[in-house]
Amino acid sequence: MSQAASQPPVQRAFFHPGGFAKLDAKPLSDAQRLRWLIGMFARMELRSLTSKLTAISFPLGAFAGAAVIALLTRIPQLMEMLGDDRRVFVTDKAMPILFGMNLLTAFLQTTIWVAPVIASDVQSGALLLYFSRPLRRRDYLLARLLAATLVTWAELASAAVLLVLVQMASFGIALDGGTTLGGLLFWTLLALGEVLVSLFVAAAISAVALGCSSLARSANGAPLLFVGVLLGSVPLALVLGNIGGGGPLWQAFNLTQGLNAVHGLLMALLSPQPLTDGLVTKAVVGTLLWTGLAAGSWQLLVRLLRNPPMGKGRA
Amino acid sequence: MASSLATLQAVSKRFGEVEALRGVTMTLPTGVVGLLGPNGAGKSTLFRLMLGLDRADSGDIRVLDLPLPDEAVRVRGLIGYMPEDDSLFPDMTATEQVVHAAQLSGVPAIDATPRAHQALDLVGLTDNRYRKANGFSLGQRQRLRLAMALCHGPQLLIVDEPTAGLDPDGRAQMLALLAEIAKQGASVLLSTHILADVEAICSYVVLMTRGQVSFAGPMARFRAASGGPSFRLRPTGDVAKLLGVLTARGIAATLQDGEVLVQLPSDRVGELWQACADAGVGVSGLKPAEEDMASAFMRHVQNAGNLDAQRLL
Repeated sequence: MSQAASQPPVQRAFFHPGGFAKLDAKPLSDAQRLRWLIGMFARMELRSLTSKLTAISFPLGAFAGAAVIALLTRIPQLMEMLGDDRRVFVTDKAMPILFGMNLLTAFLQTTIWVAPVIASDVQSGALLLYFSRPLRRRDYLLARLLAATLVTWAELASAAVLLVLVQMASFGIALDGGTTLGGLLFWTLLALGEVLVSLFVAAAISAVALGCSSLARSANGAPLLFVGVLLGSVPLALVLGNIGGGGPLWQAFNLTQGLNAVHGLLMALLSPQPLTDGLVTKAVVGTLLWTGLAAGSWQLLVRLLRNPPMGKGRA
Repeated sequence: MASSLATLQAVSKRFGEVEALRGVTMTLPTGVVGLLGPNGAGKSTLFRLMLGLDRADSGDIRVLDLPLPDEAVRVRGLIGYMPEDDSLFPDMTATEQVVHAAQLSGVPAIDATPRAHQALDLVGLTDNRYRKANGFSLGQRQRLRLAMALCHGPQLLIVDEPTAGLDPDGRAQMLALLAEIAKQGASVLLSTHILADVEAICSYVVLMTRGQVSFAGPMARFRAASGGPSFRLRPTGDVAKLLGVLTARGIAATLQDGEVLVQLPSDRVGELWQACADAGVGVSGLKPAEEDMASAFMRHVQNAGNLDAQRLL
């Protein structure tokens, strides 16, 4: 009997004479591994039932909006009330309301599923499991950020695009007596703008939420800190407004308002209504504030992972 | 296959005021190497440096012939690491944990799942493969972490306290697994406080104390009795006469359990035969004398200046 045949089946499969059985396929390259890691982290975020329910709630808002619009278009009196202001209805009512609702859901989702992940990896010892593998710390961080951004972006953008499509189907491509080409351009720019704003929002809140892990360093503390940052910005904006004499500049320090202003600016660009100076200021300050917070959070995470608490005594 | 597991040249590492490693120089051969030492001796720091998780303040490190930290990522692909603490990915079944670990090590998805099942079979977790690891016993968790460490087929398996907290049966199973893995061609670097574990499977021993290597060499040399090489001789005939002849020749000899323990350099073993002939004593057995592991450990630690060695056992 040969040596291989005398071994138990498991060992025959796992070991070859002189070492472990060779892999059948070529090992993953660094780029492939990063892509796999992003997908894996995204799947982990959507793993639990509650996170799936939260994800479903994004298009629910769009469905509700679609139902209202479908109802509107079937009631002639209401359509008459809208008159020639359908574009205003789209840019100043429907899309901002959906964005506001989804922003709150995105905050909730990020607080629960994104803010604690890195702190949780430290506490569970998973960080050591990641870093003892052929993985760069930068790749881990990038994968965490991109996975969180991807999930939030997909949820925000899909809901917005869904509502855009429903409105286009309900109101027709050509709006307010305009040309088909002009209408097509409007709907395309609206959808594209929503996708881009969603990307900015998703990336910014994901980075800030992840950054809370590096400051709080506990899976329970990080979400609380993130909520604290969001809620704390409200009185901060009021105080700064009082000191600075009020105005849109200080209103943008309310982080929720800052993001709403960024979305509002996009809508204003597509709306027939005139653009207000205050909105531009708020949107610019909001963008700068969130970009600064995201960049700061990234630096904090890089610093945390430069010498991360791993192994014995990490708690 | 690499010529040695690792080569360290004057490696030092400091954490603030604490000097974790002080000019460590050694070459670890392939095979099963036991790393012994009291808490704070620098074993974990050594592992972190070998995995490229930390950078040495000074000195050169090569692991599997690759220089660190330049080739840290490549080195980590060739190593399987089973950490001491209870590190697992949260909320995953045993199979998912191992698949996850394999893919992190670069195993493509097509291979990762079958290899995960094979690794779980190998460590004896076949019946628990679809259970979440949160509900595993300590022994099951240790075996799961071993499966995660070896699923990608590493050249070197670094295991940190693999038998800590296991019952005697679990400990024996874990050691048998490590011995089997080594037999199949992978090298194993085992860090433990349990001397019997090192004795059971290691062929080479490294003893660290206070950030320095107190001893590095084959197991037989580690256990060689103190006071230089010595022999245990089983005489047939007048033992008292033999002791007298040996003493007259200036050779230290004592009677112990019916055997004569002789302290003599190995190149002078001919004198022993001559003494036996002079005393008219036959020899039914002669072998190098060895200490038990505990005595050898205490002696080496005490030689390194740690007089409280008894407390460490």
